[in-house]
Amino acid sequence: MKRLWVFLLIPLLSGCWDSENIEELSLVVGVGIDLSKNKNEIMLTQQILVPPGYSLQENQAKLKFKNVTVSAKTLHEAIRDSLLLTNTVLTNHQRILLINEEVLREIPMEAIINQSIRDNNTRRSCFIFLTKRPTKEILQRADDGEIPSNVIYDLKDNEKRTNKILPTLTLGQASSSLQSDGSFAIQAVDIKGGKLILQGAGVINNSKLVGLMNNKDIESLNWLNGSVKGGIIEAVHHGAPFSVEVDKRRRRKITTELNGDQLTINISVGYTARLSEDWYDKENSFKESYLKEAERKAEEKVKKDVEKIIWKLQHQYKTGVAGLYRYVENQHPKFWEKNKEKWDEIFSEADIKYQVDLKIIDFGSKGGIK
Amino acid sequence: MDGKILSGELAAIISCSMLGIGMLTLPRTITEKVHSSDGWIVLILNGLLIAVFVCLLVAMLKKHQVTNYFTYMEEAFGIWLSKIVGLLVVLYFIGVASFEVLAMSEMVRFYLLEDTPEEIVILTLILASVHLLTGKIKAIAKVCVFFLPLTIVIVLFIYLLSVRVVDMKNIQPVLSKGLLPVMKGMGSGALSFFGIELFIFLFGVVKNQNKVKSGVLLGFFIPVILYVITYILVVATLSVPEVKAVTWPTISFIQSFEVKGIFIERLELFLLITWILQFFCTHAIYYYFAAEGMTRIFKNAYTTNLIVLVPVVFILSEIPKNTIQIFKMSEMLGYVFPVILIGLPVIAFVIVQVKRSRRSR
Repeated sequence: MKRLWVFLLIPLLSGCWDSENIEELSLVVGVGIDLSKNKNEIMLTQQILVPPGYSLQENQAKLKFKNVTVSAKTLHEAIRDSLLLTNTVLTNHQRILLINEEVLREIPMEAIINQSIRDNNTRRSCFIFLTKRPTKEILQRADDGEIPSNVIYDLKDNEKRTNKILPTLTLGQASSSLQSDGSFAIQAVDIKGGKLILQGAGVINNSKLVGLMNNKDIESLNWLNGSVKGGIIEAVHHGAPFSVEVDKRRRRKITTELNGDQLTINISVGYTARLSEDWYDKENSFKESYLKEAERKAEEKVKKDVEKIIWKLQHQYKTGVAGLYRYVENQHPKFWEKNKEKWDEIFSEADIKYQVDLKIIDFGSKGGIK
Repeated sequence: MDGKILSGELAAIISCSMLGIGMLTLPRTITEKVHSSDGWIVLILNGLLIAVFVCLLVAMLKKHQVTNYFTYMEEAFGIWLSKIVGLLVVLYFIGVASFEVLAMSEMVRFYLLEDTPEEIVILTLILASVHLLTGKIKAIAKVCVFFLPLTIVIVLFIYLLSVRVVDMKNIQPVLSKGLLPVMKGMGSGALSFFGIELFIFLFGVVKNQNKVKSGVLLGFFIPVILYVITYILVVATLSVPEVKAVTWPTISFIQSFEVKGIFIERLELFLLITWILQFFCTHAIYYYFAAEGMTRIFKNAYTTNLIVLVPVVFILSEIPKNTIQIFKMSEMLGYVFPVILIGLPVIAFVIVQVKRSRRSR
């Protein structure tokens, strides 16, 4: 009777139902979506890792990845069709999702990311980027055999050093935003001089691409949002250019006021900074008044830029990309409840006041000339 | 019942039986009803309300010196009626036990083992819990005492790492639409409080009767606090409209960030594994009470009932065929829950009170 247990245990040793050999899986790191030449179809490009040493003898300089492109009516169909070309795809490790501009002009973004959100494997933390060129082209751009998806993924780490990168947009955030007021900006990727580069951005409103931004706009938008993490402010004083490096955000305060139906939004941000470069030949940073003067000039510069982007948002794109609706919702819930359908209108007519307060706390290891 | 449990073990059993499917779906079920980010207020109010009622129940049970609830029901309803009521209670236990194992298999199927037949997952869990249950309540208590701290530590660790993606703006404004929607949503959290009713049946088994109340309350507030934290973090990360749209909000929340630098990048795996343990505990506890109840009603052997229940629970958990039906089943059980927790004990108490005072006259 005791031995019976041993026999009953044998099935447990037979292994896992869901086991699959790792070399037979296609690990997807990046996905690109384009419009297909066939009518009403979309083209899906999947970037798949090729394990190192997979074919070492044949060709030493073999690429570390391969791209699989298929087109179909829906994305899931396309993913399934890709199985005709490659092994089972595994999206657990997908890091980026590239979407071509043309796609977003034709198809709502909600529909484009729907499959990824529903899927049990794709993580909500994967990043979304926009592309001007076909994503297929971008995903093929390999410098020194690097994997393009990883290059793009790592580029966004530079946001601590430059303010020309938008805060990264994850799949989850995009989905949440589309469910809420549906307008946000998304960072674009391009190729310049044969290299992958983060450049420009797109403005999404109600799931559609309504406009494009250049790097200058991104910078201003970051200032407006208070999402600047570093980077330089270039300004001019005494007829000579100088730059101030942004250090840390000290505060950010947003208040909203209602006067009847007229909305006023007051934004004020404070940063510490460093005078990092000065071309003025009579510089004397040891004097406080000199630094105060520089602070003021830099503040003016930022303010002017931000006013430009506010004008653009209000008149050109007519949408509140900056997520300001949250503050209206929180501070005037009743007003929001009544007017959330026409938020774009209200935003376009709102009075937005922007204040920036820079404090130059040091000037590097040199403070004067002559 | 042989072997008595300590009040700490009671607390662990209560906590483990509460931490089941509720935790994974609660942000959605509550937000659906409240339509704002005030669900955490609902949870706190609900929690306090139930806690007060639990204190009252403990006092009632103590007053009548209840050692076993099924014997107590016999005193209240008479032999035959008590058998019927008891059977209904057992049916409810079987229902919850099947539901928990079903919900687990659904989660496992969707996130972990796509190709493994659900029946195997379900059957494995049922058989494992039957094996545990041969050790009766003392064995369950030991498992719960072991699993509960593990669960709490892992969950809090994951939550700690989530701080980067949490945006507190999403749970403001507090009480934007006033108290009314909150009051209306009060019933919606019921599923999350499943498990607290079990202490009525555990009452007689605790060694030190004076510590029952503190044990139950401790066991009750551990999950309630976890629920409130979960609700706040999930809604703050996903925002109200998104929470209403996703099927497993807590898992979606953990999938929205990854940790770089440590070898564990993806944390949902840890949550899933921990939660299988919790599903197992909840399932085993309800299973135990179903079997125990049957033993009292039919006056047969406990082991026989354990074995008889295997096909019953298995078949019941095979009935709902899709996600919607699974959520429907939980809704149905949600209606029975207040009856077991509130209706039954109060009615029994009143009848027994009347009977006893008559007798003493």
